Amino acid sequence: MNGGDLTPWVTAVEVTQPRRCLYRQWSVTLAGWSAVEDGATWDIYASHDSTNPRAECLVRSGIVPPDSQPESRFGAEQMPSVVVNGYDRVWLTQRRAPRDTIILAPDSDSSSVERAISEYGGPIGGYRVWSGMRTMHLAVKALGRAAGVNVRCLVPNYPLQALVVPPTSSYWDAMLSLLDPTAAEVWYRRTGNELVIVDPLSPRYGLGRRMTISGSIITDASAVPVRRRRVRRVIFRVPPC
Amino acid sequence: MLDDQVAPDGFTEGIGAVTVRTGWHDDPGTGESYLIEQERTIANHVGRIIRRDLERYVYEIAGSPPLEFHRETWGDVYLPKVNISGERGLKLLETETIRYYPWSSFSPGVNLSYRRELAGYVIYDLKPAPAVLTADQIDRLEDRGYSTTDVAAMPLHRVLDSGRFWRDCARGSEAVYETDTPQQAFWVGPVETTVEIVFSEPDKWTSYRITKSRIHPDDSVVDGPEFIRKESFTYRLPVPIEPPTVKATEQGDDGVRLLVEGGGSTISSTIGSPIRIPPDRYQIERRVVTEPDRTASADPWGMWDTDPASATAAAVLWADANTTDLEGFAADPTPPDEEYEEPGDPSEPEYEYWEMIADLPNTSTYEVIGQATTLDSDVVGDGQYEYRARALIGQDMSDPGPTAGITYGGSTGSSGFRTRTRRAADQSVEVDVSAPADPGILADGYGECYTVDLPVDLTELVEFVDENGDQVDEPYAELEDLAEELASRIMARENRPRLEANVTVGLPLIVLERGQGVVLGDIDWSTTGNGLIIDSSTSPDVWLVDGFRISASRSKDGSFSSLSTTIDLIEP
Repeated sequence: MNGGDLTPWVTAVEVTQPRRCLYRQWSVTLAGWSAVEDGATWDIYASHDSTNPRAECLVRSGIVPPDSQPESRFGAEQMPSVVVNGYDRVWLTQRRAPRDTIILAPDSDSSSVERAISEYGGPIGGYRVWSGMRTMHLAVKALGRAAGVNVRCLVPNYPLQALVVPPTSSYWDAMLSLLDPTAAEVWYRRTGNELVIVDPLSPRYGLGRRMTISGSIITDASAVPVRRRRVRRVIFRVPPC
Repeated sequence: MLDDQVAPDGFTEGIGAVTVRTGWHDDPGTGESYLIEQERTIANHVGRIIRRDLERYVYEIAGSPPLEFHRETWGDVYLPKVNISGERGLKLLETETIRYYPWSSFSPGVNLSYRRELAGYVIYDLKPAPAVLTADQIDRLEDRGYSTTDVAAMPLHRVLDSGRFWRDCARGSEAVYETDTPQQAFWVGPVETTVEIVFSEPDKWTSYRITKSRIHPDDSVVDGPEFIRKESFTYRLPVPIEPPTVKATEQGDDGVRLLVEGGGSTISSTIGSPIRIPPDRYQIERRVVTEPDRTASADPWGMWDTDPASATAAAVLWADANTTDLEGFAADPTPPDEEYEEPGDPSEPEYEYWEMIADLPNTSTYEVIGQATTLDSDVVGDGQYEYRARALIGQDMSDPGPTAGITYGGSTGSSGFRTRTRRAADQSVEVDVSAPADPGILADGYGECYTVDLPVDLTELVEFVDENGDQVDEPYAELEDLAEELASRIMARENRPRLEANVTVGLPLIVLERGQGVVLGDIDWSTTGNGLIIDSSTSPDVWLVDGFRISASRSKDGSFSSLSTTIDLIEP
């Protein structure tokens, strides 16, 4: 919190990246009694090399979100302890939102912008036009840059019409709603800060180093087939342009 | 073993010990053991044997019903004039012999006839002086089986009606234990005869049981008849069935309509005209002669390979982020967007074989003896197909009938998606993409509808008037193609089942990255049951990491108390 090293007071650490999530959440139990500030950034290091305990970094600049309530407890015969929950930087990236409402426009034609505003039909407030967004790929890359990630699109492209990005959505949500028709899968690579959008029909091998886990170290294994639903009919609505 | 032990005789000692000795014959061929002798001995508290039962079975062949059964019962029972106090000892009290007559020697069960004879001591009261018998009494003597010609052997001293079997006396108090009582025990054989006769008829067994007693000749009993049904055979002869004919016609854009007629069996009859049996079902087979390539939009369930070179295993090309393209993003590893020709012969292999595409019940009408129709919608425009049909009656199937060929001229998309475009009142355009019925689901009408906004620039995709100023036939064709490509991806993502696995490892694996490839080595198990074995096998396919949980905690003295990683995996 203040640049200090809290390792000696840590009694338990849990770092989780839930299924289908790009962010990581962590929970640290400290022996102690202290006030934890919202918005403080934390680094959690981990290593499998005892000579270099700070070799790997699991969570860098993870933050304790402003609405979190760190749980503190102590009892008569019990050491006081504080549980701090937080998220890593990607979680913040997913929530970054523009200050003005953004209108994506394929060209600098003001009539298409007006048509998009009337098609949106809701409150917009002050807006800024991003022109030159001729295709969906270009719009997604621009939104990603604004959110703070590099984007690589490997899905089919389509030409984009002028579109209002709802002011209630973050850059990330706007990107995903543009990608929704292509049913893309989103994967994130921390080393290059790269968001990779993958086509569901394409085959895949996996990114980075491939790991082989031997059966001798596995203590438990379970599997379940999951099918989300059976879609038989898809209706696309194209706003007038 | 003690279930059928007789309660101790009223006037004898109590039971101290029961010993059972059995003798078995081990069949050298099958290895089965057959009981051939059993001896039960009861000793009293001081070790003196007071009762002995000896049973013996006589077999002709091991495994068959027995030929004979013999039983001897020895006991230390008071028998007047025979086994009296002071001279008491183990005496043979009764014998039982059963002789079996099975219908077929290797099948025990309801078909056993037998004759049972029980012989033993009978206690009679005595008359003070030999009797003079009347003619009527002499007749009744003969009824009891005594000879009336040999005067010396006639039982003139006995009160014949007082004869009672030793068992009945032993339990009651009908034998008086005084040596001067006018009673005597005589060996009578047989005292009781039971005969069971079993008759065999084609559909059943009939059995009668007749019991006769020598000491109570009026107590004969006839039981029966009792009927036991036999199991029956069924015979079946295959029936020659004529094959049906098929007619194939195009039905617009929906596919090929097939009409099957005829088939069935004709059974000639010596009386009247031949009998015609219509088929129960028809099976239609199809052969694809030639067919243009199916695109993704015509193959929503991924049943057809679009690319002969497509790999079965998952493979994604993840670029090295250090190499960038001109825009500054990581270079795209896919081949450049130019014309690319596959080396060798990229044409699809020809299908040689017939496959069954429909199994229909016979929906015949009054005029037609057998008929069925169906629609084959799994066709591609400009494809050539041949059809033939077979008729089924019960379990028998006919040969295939004559072949009907057709070249399907409908539009290409009809075999896969059905796409319709509509311009709404507010000038927005709606594209409705419907997939054909999922072959994995048998019920009709199952599946959800998914709606999505597509902010496409229509001016680039929709063309009402071409360069020459003429009307375009299908202005929305490009938009519909795009919609079909996107719909096939949406259906692939939602409908395709994927295996989600969770693996717990006792180490902290901290270099995990979501999307990383994982190969699970050598997790083996096997299950056996009912003579079957199910073995696991480790597939070399790669899983992708979908998530993980690493937890570590420390105990009070600072050492690790738990350390584990649970990895959430998903099929790629």
